[in-house]
Amino acid sequence: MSDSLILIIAIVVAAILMFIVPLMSISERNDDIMQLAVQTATSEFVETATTKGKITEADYSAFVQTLGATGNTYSIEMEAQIIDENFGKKQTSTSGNLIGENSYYSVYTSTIEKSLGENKEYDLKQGDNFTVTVKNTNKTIAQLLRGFFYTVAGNDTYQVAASYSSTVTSNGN
Amino acid sequence: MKIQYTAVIFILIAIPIMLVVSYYMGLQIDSITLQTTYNTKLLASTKAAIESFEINTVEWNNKFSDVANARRRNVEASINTFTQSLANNLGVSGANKEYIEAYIPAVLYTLYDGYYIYTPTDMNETIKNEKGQDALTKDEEIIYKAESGGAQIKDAEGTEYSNATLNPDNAKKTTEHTLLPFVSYSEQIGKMTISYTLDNYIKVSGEFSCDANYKNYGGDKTQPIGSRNDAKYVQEEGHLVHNKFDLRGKDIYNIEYDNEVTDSIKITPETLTENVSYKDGSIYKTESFKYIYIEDSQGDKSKLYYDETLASVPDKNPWFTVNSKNEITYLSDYVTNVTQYVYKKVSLPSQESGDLNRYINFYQVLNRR
Repeated sequence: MSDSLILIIAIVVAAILMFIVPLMSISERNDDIMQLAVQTATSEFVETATTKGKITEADYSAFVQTLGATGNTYSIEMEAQIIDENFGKKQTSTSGNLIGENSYYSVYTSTIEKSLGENKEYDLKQGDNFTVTVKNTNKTIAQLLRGFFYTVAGNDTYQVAASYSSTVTSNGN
Repeated sequence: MKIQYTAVIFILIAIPIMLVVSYYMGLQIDSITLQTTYNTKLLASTKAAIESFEINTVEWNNKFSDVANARRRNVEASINTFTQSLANNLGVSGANKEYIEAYIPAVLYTLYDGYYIYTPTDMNETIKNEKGQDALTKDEEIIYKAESGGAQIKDAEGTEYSNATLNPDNAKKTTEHTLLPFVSYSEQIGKMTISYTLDNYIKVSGEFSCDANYKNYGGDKTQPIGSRNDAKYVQEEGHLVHNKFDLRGKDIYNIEYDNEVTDSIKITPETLTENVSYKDGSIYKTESFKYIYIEDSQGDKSKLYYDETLASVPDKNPWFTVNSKNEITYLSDYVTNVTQYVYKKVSLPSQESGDLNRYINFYQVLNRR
């Protein structure tokens, strides 16, 4: 009796050791690699947009494709902070002539995407800020395994996230 | 059977150990990743701050650099850009400046002739009127919030404020981030004060007393100005040059000062070098070259680089310029007459009190070969 019990325990432990544990560690490392790839792609996209001075449809599509190549689905949030040159309120000390002295108004993802769809580009000017945040929306293998074993991961948490922001240095025309 | 039993016991002991160790390693990896993420975000924000500073001050940008001479305002605008960019990078783009500043102990701007520091300092808390400005009495004294034992004070418009004081020593202190006044790079040696800049322009002022050994070669390069029995107040400024070049009389040669008791200094000029990226055939190379500033007959200024490998080759001119396409052009005439060189001029408001419209001209200087 005790022999079979030990045997069953041995088989279960062997199964866990030989299949589940390597799978978990490999998938965690895979997530790290994807995180790096997504961060790199995001930085490149933001830097290209701020150096060119405009967000083009071609760059955005290439960015989305690079993200898709990692095998996950992502939600992309873009925010462009535009220098507001016509603000009506009085400022006590500034006349708005320098970058960093002005008020900014923000333009978000849906507006930018609409402009990309219609005009194939969205123009920015010098001094504007452009931020992109990317989060994954599906559950990666590591998240699934962790949720199964530890019942820790909730429904809204994301595993892979990248964010980058930069100031525009040239005017797009 | 016994061996399986032993094996299972081994597994039961080893697995918790492995789990704990791998969890610990995971934590270490996470903290290194977070550290790297913060470093990257900070670097990105610093880059944005300096980019905006450059766009605001560079002379060829018409839109932003009308106020290129307002140095303090440029620095403040750059700090605003830094906090804004940091907020964007951390995902709190709607946060206001004070929220982010609480995490920044200091921001240091090293400029050409001094530095600015933006840091929390103790300030006297003032009472603001309804326009948001500091309340002032009829005699234009600032009304502070009292630490203790305040009184009722009326401002110029007649509004009365309670718990107020006119004595700054009794005022309540708050800690706010402020841009501290400009500090120039200067040093006091004996009775002399020397102001430095990031390249070879210096200003020397002070008294040279008769027990100091001081040599300063002026317009005539062979006779020293000061001598042992001479005691007078001297103020000189100019670019430090190497004694091979003969320039305008305002230039200062190597300064040596030795009072043979406590102080002795020797200030020599510094060779300016820069990394230059240029095209060699179809390959881009980057090398470090010495350079000087020149101005041609049309008044256009450019940098003239010196290629040391060609210095000893006859009939080959070692001086060259690099254009925006990274192409090298060697000068056709060999440069010997150095009096044709002028300097890139930068005007900064004077730090001396009394004369509000005075600007000191700093020149980025000629250096030796």
